[in-house]
Amino acid sequence: MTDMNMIQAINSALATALREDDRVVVFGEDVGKFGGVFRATDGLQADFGEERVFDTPLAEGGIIGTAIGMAVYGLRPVPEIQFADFIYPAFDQIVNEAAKMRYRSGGQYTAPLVIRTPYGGGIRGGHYHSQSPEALFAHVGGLKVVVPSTPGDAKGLLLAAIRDDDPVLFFEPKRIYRAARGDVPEEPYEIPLGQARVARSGEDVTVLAWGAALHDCLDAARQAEADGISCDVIDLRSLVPLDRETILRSVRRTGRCVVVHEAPKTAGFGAELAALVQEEALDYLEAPITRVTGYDTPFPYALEQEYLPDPARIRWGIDRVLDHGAA
Amino acid sequence: MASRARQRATAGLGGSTPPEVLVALHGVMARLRAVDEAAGELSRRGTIGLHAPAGGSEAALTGTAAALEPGDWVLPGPRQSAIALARGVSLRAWFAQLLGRAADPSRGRQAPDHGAWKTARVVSASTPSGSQLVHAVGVARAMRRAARGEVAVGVAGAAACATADFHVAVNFAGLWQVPVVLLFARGEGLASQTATATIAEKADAYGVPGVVVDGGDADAVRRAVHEAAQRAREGGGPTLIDAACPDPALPVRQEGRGLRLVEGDGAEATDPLARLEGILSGLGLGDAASEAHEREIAAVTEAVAWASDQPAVPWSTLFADVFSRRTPALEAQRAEALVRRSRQET
Repeated sequence: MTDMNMIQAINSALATALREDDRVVVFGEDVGKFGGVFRATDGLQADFGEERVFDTPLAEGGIIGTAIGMAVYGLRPVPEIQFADFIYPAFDQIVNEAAKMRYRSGGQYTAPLVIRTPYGGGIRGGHYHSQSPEALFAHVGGLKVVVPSTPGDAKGLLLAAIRDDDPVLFFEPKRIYRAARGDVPEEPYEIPLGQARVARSGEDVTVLAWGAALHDCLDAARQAEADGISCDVIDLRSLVPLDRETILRSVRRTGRCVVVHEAPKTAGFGAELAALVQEEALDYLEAPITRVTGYDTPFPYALEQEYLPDPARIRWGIDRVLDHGAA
Repeated sequence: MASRARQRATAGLGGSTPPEVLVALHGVMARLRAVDEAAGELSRRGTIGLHAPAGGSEAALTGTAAALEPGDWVLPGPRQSAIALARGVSLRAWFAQLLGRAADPSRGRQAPDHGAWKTARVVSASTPSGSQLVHAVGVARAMRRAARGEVAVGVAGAAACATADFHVAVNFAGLWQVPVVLLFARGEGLASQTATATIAEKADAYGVPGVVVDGGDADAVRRAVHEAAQRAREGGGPTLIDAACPDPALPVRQEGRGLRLVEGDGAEATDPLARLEGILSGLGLGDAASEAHEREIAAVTEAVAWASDQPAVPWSTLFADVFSRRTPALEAQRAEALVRRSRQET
C-alpha cells in the first residue's frame, strides 16, 4: 500500500495497464511528451515509448474516432479528452459510433476503449473548464459511465474499465485530483464496474453521490451526526452500470433519499435516480426525494462557490427530507 | 513536410490488362448493379427500409476491392457498403441484412446497406457521413504497429469531403503517415459541397498525395488503389483517391439483357458497365458480358426469395449486444418486456 493522491493513482493504473497488456495505448493532447496538463500521464512516454504513449493534434473528433478504429482492430486505447468541456466535437463519434459498434454489427465488431477526462468545477475554470456532462452519456445505450471519488477507487476502476470489453467514459473529478489522498495498492487490482460503495453507514437518510461531491456529502453527514442524524452515504462509482440493489436496499431501510451532483438539475443523473427510487421503493418513502445540484445555468466563474452544492446546501437537503410531514 | 505534387492516374480502360481480369471485374459490377436495382425495388415497395441508390459506383467499388488483399480492411459509408459483395459476401447474406432476417450476421440491427461483414473485413456503416474516414486512420495506425503489411481503406462519397471528420481524418493521416487509403467514390454534386473542382487537390494541404482517377473505369481504379496500397504497405504513408463516378441518383432501366443508367432525357448515361461492355465487345466477349448480367439478375432473384423465406430476428435479441453482458437496468427492462409479452399472448 502507498499513500497516493488521485493523479498518482491514475498514473499508477495507466502504467500497470501499459505494462500488463501490450494492446493498451494512451494518447491525447499533451499526453505524451508533456505528461498531461494535470500530470496524469507523467513519465509514461519515457517508460513505454512513443508508439504506446503519444500526442495528438487538437481535434477531439480525431482523438476518439481514431481510438475507435484502433479498438475495432484489437487494441485497448485509452484516449484522453483534456477537459470534459471539450468532449462535444467527439460526441458524434462517441454516441453514433463507439456506443453502437457492438450492437449494430451483431457483436462482430466491438469498441473497447476508455475515454478519460477531467470533469467538474472548483478550480476557477469558468464555463469551459468546469462542466459535468455525465448525464448526456449515461443516456446513450452502449456506453458505460464511471466516476471515482478516491485514489484507491480511481486506480481500481480505471484498471477494470481498461479490461472491460465495452466503451467506458471515465470522468475524473479534477477538483480533488490532489486533495483526495489515500492508501492505494501497488499491485494490480480491480474494482468491478457497477458496484457502489457505502462510504458511511446510517439509518435516517440515504445520500447518493459520486465524484468530488461525495466528499462534501461526507462532510455534511459528519456535521449531521452531531445533531443526531445518521446518513447512509453511498458512492455510486458507476452510473452505468448502476448498482440498483445497493441504492434500493438503503432507501428501503431509511425511507428518505437525497441525491447530490454538481451537474445542472434538469435532466441530471439525479433525475434518473429519483425516478428509479420512486418506481421501485415508493411504499418505503417517507418524503419526496430531494436533489441538491448545480443550477440550470452555465457554470459561473466568479460565483463558482455559490453554484457548487457545498456541505451546507447538502445539509439543507437532508433536513428537508427529514422535516417532511413534521408538524 | 514537403508538399507532394498531385498525381493524375491515367485512364485507359483495358490497355494491357488481361481480358480475364476485365471479365472478372465486369461480373462483379453486374452483380452490384443487379443488387442495387433489386434493393431499390424492395425499398420502393416498402418491403425494406430506405435504400440509398448506389448505381454508377460499381466500377469504383469493384476496382477497389480487386486491388486489395484479403487481410486488408474496408470501412465504407452506406452508399459504398456493397463493396462487401465485391469482397465475397454472399447475395443471400446481403439480402438477409436488407430484410432484417435472423440469417443477417448483424442480427437485423441496422437499416439496409449498413451491415457489418467481418469475414470480408468490412466494418459496419453508419449514416453520418465521413465518420468512417477517421476510424480508417485509427485502424491503419494499429495496422502499422502490427506490421503485417495490412492496409485500411476508408470509402466515402462526395459529401463526406465537407464534413469535420474529413478534415480530421486527412490531417491525422498526413501527420501520422499511416497505411490508409481514403477513397471517394463521388457522384455528381461536389460543386454544392466545396469550392474546389476535385477532392484530390485538398490532400496537398494535409501533406497527403491526392490522386484523381476515372471512377467509371474499374481497371483504372484497380490500378490506382493497388499502387496506393502497395506504397502504404511499404511504409510510404496514406493516399487520397478521388474517383469521379456518374450520379448515383440516376434511374436504371432494362436494356436488352442488362440494366442501364439513364439520363433525365432518356439518353444513355456514362454508365461504367456500358463502357466496360464496349471494351469486352471489342475483344469478342460481348456475349459473356450479357450472360453475366442474366446470371447476376437470376442470382439476385434467388437470393431475395431465399432471404424472404428466412425467419425473422427473435424479439429477445433486442436486449443483446448492447454490452458484453447485460446491465441490471437492461435485465429489468427485458424482464418487464417478457412479462408484458407473455400476458399479451395468453
